[in-house]
Amino acid sequence: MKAIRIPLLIVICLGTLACGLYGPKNMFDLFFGSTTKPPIITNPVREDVRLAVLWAGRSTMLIQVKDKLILTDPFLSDFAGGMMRRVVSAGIDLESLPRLDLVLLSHAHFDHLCYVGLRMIAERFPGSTLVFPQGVEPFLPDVPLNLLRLKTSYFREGFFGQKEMVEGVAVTPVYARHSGGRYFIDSYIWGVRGHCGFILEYDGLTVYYSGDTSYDPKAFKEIGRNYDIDVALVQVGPCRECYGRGTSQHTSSSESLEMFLDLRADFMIPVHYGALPEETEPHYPAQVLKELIGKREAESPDRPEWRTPRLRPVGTENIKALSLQDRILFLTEGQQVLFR
Amino acid sequence: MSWALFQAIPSPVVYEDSGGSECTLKAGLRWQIIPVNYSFSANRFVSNVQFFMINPVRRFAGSIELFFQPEVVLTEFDHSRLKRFWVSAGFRVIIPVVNYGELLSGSLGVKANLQGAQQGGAENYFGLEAGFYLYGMLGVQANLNFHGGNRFSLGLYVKYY
Repeated sequence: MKAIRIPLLIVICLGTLACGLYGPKNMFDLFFGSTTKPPIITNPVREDVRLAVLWAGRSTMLIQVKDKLILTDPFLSDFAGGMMRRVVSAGIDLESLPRLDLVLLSHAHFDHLCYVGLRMIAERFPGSTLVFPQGVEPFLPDVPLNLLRLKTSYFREGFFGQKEMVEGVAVTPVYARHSGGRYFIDSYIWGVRGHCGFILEYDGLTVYYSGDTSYDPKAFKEIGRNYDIDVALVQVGPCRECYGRGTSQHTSSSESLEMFLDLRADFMIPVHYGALPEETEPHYPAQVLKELIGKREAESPDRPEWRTPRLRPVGTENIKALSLQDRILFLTEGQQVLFR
Repeated sequence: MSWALFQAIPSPVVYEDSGGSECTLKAGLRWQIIPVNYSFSANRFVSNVQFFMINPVRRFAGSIELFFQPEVVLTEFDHSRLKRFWVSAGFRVIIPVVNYGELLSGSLGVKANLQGAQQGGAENYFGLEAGFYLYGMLGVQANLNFHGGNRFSLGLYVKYY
């Protein structure tokens, strides 16, 4: 028995280390927690709108621009990388989609590059196009999808990568300040690159998806100067200090609001909060953002000069002057917003 | 530098130490070195072949590799009279089981143990190996050896990249 003491000790040490790094609550939830099912829209593809965004949760969105269907970061499993249990399942059913024109992948972290999701897409829509920035390819298995790598030069030369026409949609990878990699140390110690946001242009409309990013005072202003963005899908959190500054990886709630103003987009849909218990309660970053919007409206009633939106969310057509509150649209998992 | 440090992390192993009618277990350590890996599941943007610094995705998604393992038991083999330090080398095939192998992959392999006897002289023998892995980085490996003094070993597999 003496011989097994050392391996046993090592196993106990590894277990303790895992609990320490990962958190005992997350370890408990992984095995004994529960995941709630959000309502699923059975017919999410609309004929009567120019733009629709269905937020499935986290950074997974179904974007419909006229006749094009685009899915972002398809995190469709109930577990992030098998390690962290989702609080709410992905609010989308691939079976309800007649086709999928594009899948966008912003980077390879577990909550964005989900192998379960990739397999589901490959089975339901074999041969559909998966677009990703350079640096993600080492983390992609050989899935039966049309893989399309976009050149970004890792944004050393500016804020915009290689624009490519994909299935009729112009896709441009744009700057995000985050990290690539997948397995913790490759991301955070080695600083493996391979991440971006995206600009999508189709049918005279422009949609921006931030991917994961921290705040940059120049980049988002520059993106806003170059594109008339109709809808910005902006990451919010995770953040512990959501009222203050974010981390080197993610914006805080207040920085997400700054980002939206820098981008000068017509509308913003906050994403990336909600599904996973990370720094705080999953919906906390959105709650803080709502509070900050209210404060800003009260403190600075002089609104910035907004463009007249090309589109309006259905139900707001009669509002003459849209407030900041009207322009930032909070969805629940599985909810869809329609623009006409 | 950090990659080299990760290679220095050993995997804990329990070895059988058998001789005559006596049999006991010995704790030991094994280092996992992979000089070359050929992936069956590399996408068109990356190479199938990797040397030493092995991307886990291409490995656990289905691959074959040459491995090299320095091994040591912490105290002398009392019964088998084998030497404490030795090296083994062989081939293993990694098979994806769950999520392209990320959540669970398995392996089967053959290896040659190049060990010596305490009295001097070579004691080389073959063995079979099987394992299961999480993320291709943390797993359990069992060895069945064709040597009366060290018929089996069971250990963890710890290797980052």
